[in-house]
Amino acid sequence: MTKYLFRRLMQSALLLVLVVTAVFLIFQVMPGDITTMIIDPETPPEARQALIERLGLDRPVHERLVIYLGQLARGDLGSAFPTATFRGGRPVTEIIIERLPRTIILFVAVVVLNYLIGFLLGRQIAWRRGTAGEFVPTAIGVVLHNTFTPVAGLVLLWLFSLQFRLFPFGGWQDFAIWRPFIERGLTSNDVFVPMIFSATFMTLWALLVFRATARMERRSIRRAARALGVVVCAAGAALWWERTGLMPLAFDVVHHMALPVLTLVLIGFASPMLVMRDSMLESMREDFVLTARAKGLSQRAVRNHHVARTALLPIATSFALSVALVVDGAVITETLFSWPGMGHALLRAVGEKNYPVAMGVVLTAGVAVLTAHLIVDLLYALIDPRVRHA
Amino acid sequence: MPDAIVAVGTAPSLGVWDRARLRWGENVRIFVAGRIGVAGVALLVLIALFALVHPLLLATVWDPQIYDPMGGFTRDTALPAAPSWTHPLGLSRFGRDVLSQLMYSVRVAFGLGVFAAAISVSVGTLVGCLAAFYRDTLVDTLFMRLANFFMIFPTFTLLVALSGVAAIDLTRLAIIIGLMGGLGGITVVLKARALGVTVKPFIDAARIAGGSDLHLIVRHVIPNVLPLSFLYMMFTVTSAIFAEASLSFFGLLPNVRMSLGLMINEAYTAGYLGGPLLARYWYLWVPPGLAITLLCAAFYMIGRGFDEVVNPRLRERS
Amino acid sequence: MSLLEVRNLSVQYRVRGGQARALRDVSFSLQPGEVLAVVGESGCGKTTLALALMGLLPATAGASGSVTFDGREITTLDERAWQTLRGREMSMVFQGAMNAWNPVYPVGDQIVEAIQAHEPDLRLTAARTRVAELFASVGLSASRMDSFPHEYSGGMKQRAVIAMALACGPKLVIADEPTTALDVIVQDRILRELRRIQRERQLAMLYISHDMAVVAELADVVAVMYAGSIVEIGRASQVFTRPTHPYTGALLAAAPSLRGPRRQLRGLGGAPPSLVDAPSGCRFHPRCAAADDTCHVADPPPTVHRDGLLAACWHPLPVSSRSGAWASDTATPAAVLSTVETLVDVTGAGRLFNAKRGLFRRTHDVVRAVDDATFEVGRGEALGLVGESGSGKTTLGRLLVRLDEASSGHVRIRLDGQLERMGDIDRRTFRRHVQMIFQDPYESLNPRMTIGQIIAEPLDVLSIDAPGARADRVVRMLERVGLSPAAAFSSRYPHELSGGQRQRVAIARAMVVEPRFVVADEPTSMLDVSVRAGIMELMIGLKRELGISYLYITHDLSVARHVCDRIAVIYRGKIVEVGDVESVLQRPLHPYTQALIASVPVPDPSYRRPDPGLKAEGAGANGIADACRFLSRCPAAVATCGSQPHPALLMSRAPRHMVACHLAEPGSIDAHRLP
Repeated sequence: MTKYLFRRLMQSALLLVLVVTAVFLIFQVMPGDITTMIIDPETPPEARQALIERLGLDRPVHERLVIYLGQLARGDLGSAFPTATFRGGRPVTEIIIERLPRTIILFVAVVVLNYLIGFLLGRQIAWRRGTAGEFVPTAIGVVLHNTFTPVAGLVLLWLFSLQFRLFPFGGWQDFAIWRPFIERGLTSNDVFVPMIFSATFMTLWALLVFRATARMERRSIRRAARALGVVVCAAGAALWWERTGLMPLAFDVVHHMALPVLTLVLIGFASPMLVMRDSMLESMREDFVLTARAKGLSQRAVRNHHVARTALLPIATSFALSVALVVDGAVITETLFSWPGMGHALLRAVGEKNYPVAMGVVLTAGVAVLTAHLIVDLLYALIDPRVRHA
Repeated sequence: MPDAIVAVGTAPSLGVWDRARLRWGENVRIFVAGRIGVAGVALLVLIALFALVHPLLLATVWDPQIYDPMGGFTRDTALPAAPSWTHPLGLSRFGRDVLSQLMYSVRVAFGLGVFAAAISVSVGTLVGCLAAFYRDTLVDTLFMRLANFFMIFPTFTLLVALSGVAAIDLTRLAIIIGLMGGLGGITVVLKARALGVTVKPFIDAARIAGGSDLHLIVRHVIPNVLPLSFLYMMFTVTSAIFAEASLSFFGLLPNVRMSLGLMINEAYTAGYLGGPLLARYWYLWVPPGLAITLLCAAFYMIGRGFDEVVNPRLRERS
Repeated sequence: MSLLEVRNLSVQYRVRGGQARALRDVSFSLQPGEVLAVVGESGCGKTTLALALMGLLPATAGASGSVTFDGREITTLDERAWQTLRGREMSMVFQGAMNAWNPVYPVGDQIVEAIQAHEPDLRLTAARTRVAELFASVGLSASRMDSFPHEYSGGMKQRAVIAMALACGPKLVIADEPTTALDVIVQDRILRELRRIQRERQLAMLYISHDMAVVAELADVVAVMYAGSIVEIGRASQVFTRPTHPYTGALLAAAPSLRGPRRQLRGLGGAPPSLVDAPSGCRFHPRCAAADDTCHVADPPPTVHRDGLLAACWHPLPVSSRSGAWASDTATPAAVLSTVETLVDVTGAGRLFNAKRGLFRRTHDVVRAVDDATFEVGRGEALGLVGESGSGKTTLGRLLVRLDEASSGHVRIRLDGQLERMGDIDRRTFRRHVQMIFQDPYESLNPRMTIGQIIAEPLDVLSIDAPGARADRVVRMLERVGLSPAAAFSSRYPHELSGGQRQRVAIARAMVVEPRFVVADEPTSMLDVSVRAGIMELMIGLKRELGISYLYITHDLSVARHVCDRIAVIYRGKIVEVGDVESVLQRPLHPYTQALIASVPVPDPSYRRPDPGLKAEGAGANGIADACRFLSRCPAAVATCGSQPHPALLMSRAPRHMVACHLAEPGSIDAHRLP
C-alpha cells in the first residue's frame, strides 16, 4: 500500500510541474507583448522599465520559468491590474482565498448530488434493462446532458426565480441579512468554510451509516437504523450551527446556491448514471454473480453486495475525470448567476485582460483538480484490494 | 488423403458486397438492434439536410440582401421582430433572419465538430497504438504523462485562458480541441484496447510470418482498435460544439462571425434574455439552443449505438 | 427413492434465427450417494442441464418437462423457493473457479455469506469455525480464510469453491468441469479429495466433463450427451468396455491413452450441429459411419440393451467390435530414427525475467523461466516438450522461433547445410524456415482478415513466389489441411469457422511457406476430444510428407505419446528427462516424470491408479540455493540431494535416454514404477 501511495505522490508531483509549466507557457510565452501580461498598462514608462528589470521580464524563457517557480514557492501570485471587477494592486492570492471556498461549496454540492442520483438511478435502470424503466430515465438524461448550459441556466432562472418566485435572481447574498454581521467584521469565508466542512462531514457520515447498515437483511430494521443515522446527523449539524449564530447566513447561501446547483446537476446527472448502468451491466455478467445466485442469496443481496460493489470501481475512475468537467461547468454557471467564485473571476479577468488574476485562477484550478485526483486514487485503493497489493 | 474433410455446402465464391456484408453485417445488426444508434443516425440526417438546404434557398427563394446570415438585414419593423411568414423565426436585433442564421450556424457547428473529431481520433489512435506497442518505453511513459495532464486539466478553463492570450478562429479552435482531446483521455482508453490486441496470439503469428513492427501496427493493431476510436469520435464532436458555443456565448471568440453560441450571445449581451424578456424573445435563444441540443444528442446517440457494437457485454441478451 | 428424477426435460433459447434447442427430452435418475457423470463435447447441452437443475437459466430460456428433487417438483418453483433450495440442498461447483470469486471480498467472507444466507441465526464466530473446518477438509490452510481471491492459486481457488459448495451440507453437488483448467498433478489431488469427500458424506454428485478418463475414475453411472440429448446411459463399467452408441465409441477411439498399445486415433469429421438448425432424424447421423436412410429421417428413441444400459441408436455397435477402449487399428510403429541429422541444437539456453519490485522498480527477483536447456531435434523428428503451467515450456518454444531472445546459451539451426547460430541468420530466411502454431484457435487468427488473407500473409510479407502464384499455393494448402472446397473457405472470416477448422487454418498458415521446423504450442488443448484426433493425425501426416521437424509442446502425456518420437520433460525451467517416447513413458527415471505419469487419469473404470505420492507445494525442504528444483516435492529425495547443486542432464543406462537426477546416477534406486 505504501508503495502505491508513494508512486502516486511522485506522479502527482510530476504532474504539478507540468501544470505549472503549462500555465506559465500559456501566459508568458504566447505571442504578444509579454509585458502587458504582467505589468499594469497604466504604469508610467520609467517605473515600467524598473519593473521589467525587477521582474526579470527581459531575461530568456527558462530563467523566467525559474523566477516564476520561485515566486510560486513564496506564495506570490502577483497583483491584480486595476480593471472593472478587481481592485488594482490587490494580491492575487488574496482574491483566490476569498473566492475559492465559494466555488468549492458549489462544487461539493454538485458532485455529491450528481453521484448520488447517478449511482441510485444507474443501479435501478441496469436492473431493469430493456424495459421502459430503463428507457425513460436514459432518454431524459441524454436530452438534459446535451442541453446548452447557459440556456438551461436562463430557463431555470426564469422559471424558478421569476415565475415561481422560489429563489433569488442570481447573486449570492441577501444584503439585508448579511449587513449586521459584516459590520461586525464578518468575512464571507467565515461562513463558507464551515459550510464546506459541514457538507463534507455530513456526506461522510451518511456514507458510513449506509455501509454499516448494508448487511442488515430485514428491511424494517435497516430503514429504521438509517433514519436514525440521518436524524442524528441533521440534529448535530443544526445544533452546531445554532451555536455559532450564523445559521441564517448559511441558509441564505443555500437559498442562493440552489439554482446554480440545480442547473449543473440536471445537466450532469446523466453521465454518472450511464456509467453506473454500463458498469452494472458488465458486472452482472461476471461469473461470480452466477455463483452468488447459486449460493441462494436474495436478488437484493446479489445486486447490492456483488454487482453494485464491483460496479463501483469504474465509477471511481469516472469520478476523477468528472472533476474537471464540473470545474468547467462552474465557470459558466457562476457567471450566469453572478456567483462570485473562481469561475466568475476567470471569465471577468480574461474579458478585462487582467492577466495576473487569470493566471492565478487557472493555476489554482489545475492544482485543485490534481489534488482531487490524488484523493480519489487513494480512495480507490481502499475499495479495490487488488490495487493495494499490486 | 486427409481423414477429415469438412464440407460446408457448395457456396459459390463471394463477391465484394457479400464479403462486406459478412464482415460488417454482424456489427450493423447489433447497431440497428440497439435502436438508439438508428435514432441518432436519423436525427443527424435530418439536421444535415436542414443545413444543406440553406445554400439552395439563398440561391433561389431568398434574397441575399435580406437573408444573408452575416450581412443581410431588414429595417422595416421594430427589432428584434417576432416570427412571421416571411421570416419564420423572426429577426435578430440587427435585422437578420434568424432561420437563415440558424441554418448557417448548424453547418458551421457540423464542420467544426467533425474536423475536431477527425483530428482527435487520428491522433488518439496513433498515439494509443504506439504507446501500447512500445509499452514501458520512453514513448509510452511520455504519452501517458501527457494524457494524464490533459485528462486532469479542465479543458474549457484552458480554452478560456487561451482565448484571452491569443485570437482564436474556428479552424484553430478545432485543431486545439482536436489535439487536447486526442492526446487526453482517449489515448488512455485506446491504449488499453490496443494493449489487449497486442497480447493476442495473432500478433505473434504475424510476427512469425515475417511482419515488421510497422506491418503489425498498421495491418493488425489499428484495424482492431478503430471501432473504439469511432466511438470516441462521436463524443469529441459534442464537446467541440459545446466548447465553441460556450466560448462564443461569453464573447471570447472575436474572430468568429456566426455560430450557434454567437446567436445567443448577441441576444444576451443586448439584454433580451434577462428576466421576463426571456419568454417574449424566445425565438432568439430557443432555435440555437435547441439546435445545439439536437445536434449533440444525435452524435451522442450514435456514439451509444457504437458502444454496444464495441462492448459486447452491454448488449441485450438476444 | 431417487434423489433426483428428471423426466423429459427440454430447454430452448430464443436466439436470432429461431429457437436453439439446447436440451431435448432428457431423462435420468440419480440415487442418493451415487455419482452420475455427464460426458459430452462443446455444445452438447451439459452446462445448460446444470443450470436448468439449479433454476439458473437466463430469462431468454424456456423449459418444459419435470424435475423432482427429494420428492418435490422443482420446475415450478418461484425465485424465493429456489433461494432456499440453492446452496443448501443442492449446490454447484462451477467451471472456471478462477472467476467464481468476487475480487473485492476475502474468500472466507464469501463462504460465510453462503452459510448465513441459509442459517441466519448462526453467530458469526460459529460460521467462521465451520468455514475453517471446511477448509481443512479440502486441504486448505485455515489461515488463508481472510485472504483475497487474487492471492490464491488456481488449485486453491478450486478447493475453496468445493468448500463453499459443501458449506450447508447439501445432498446433491453438481460439478461442472471443475478441473478443466488445472494441471494434471493438481487435478489428480483435487479428484482424490472429491472422491474422498463424496464417499465420506455419501453425497450424490452430478459430474460434468468432457474428459473420458476422469469420468472413468469417478463415476458410477455415465450419461453421454450429444446435441442436447442423452445418447447413451449406463453403468460406467459397461459404457467403457462395451459402448453401444457410435458416438461413445468414437469418443473412446479418439482419446489417446498412456496405457495399452500405441494405435492410430480415429477422429470424428465435422462438428457438433447447430442447435437452431439441427439435422433431421438422428442428430449424429452426418458424422456417423453407420448412418443410413432411417437415421436421416427418424430420431431414435432410447432403447434398453443388456444390463439396463440405455442407448438411442438405430444401429448400435455390434458386440464383437465392442472390445473396449483398446480397440486397436493398426498400431502406429514408432518411427525409429537411428542416425538422424540434427536440425536444431540447443545448448545451455536460458531466459531470465527480472521481476521489478521496490519503489523505484529496481530488480529484486530474477525468475529463471528457462534454465540451462540442452537438447537436439533431428530432421523429420517430433520432439515433445512436456511440462505443467509455469514450467517454461512456452517460453522455451518462443525462444526457438525468435519471438524472444535467450539470456544465455545459444540455439543453432541447420538451414543451409551447416549448423549456424540463430542470431547470425538473416531474419527473413529464418522466418521462412521456422514457424509456429499457437494454442488458441480463437485468438491466433486476426478477426478482421479473411482466411485467404491470413494464409497468404507470410507469402506476401516474405515475398515468396510471384504474386499470381501465391493464390494457388493458398488453395492447395487449404485442400491439404482438409478445408475443402478451398474457394468457399478462402473468403470466410474466422468467426464463421469452428475451433477445429480454425486450427487447421493456423496449421495451413504455418505450413504454406514449407518450413523445416515448426514449434507447436499445445495445438489441441483447446479443442474438443473428437476433433483433436483429426488435428493430430493431420500434423503427423504433414510431418511425414514434408519432412518437417516439430517441437510439440504439451501438458498432456497421452498426446505426446501419440504424436512424438522423443520426449523432453521440463520442470520449473529445467529439462529433467529426455529420451525416446516409449522409453521415457514405460521406464521413467526422474521422480517428476514418474509422478506425472502416475497422475494421468486412465479411461478404464476397473483400474485403480496408485497415489503419485508427491508432497504438496512447499512442504518439503529446499536445500541450498542452487539445489535440485524438484527437491521440495520429491518423494524419493534423500539428504544429499539438498546439499548438491542441481543435477546435470546425463546419459542413463537406457539407450538415448538422459535424466537429471542424483538418484538415477549409476548405482541408485528408482522409486515408483508403472505396473
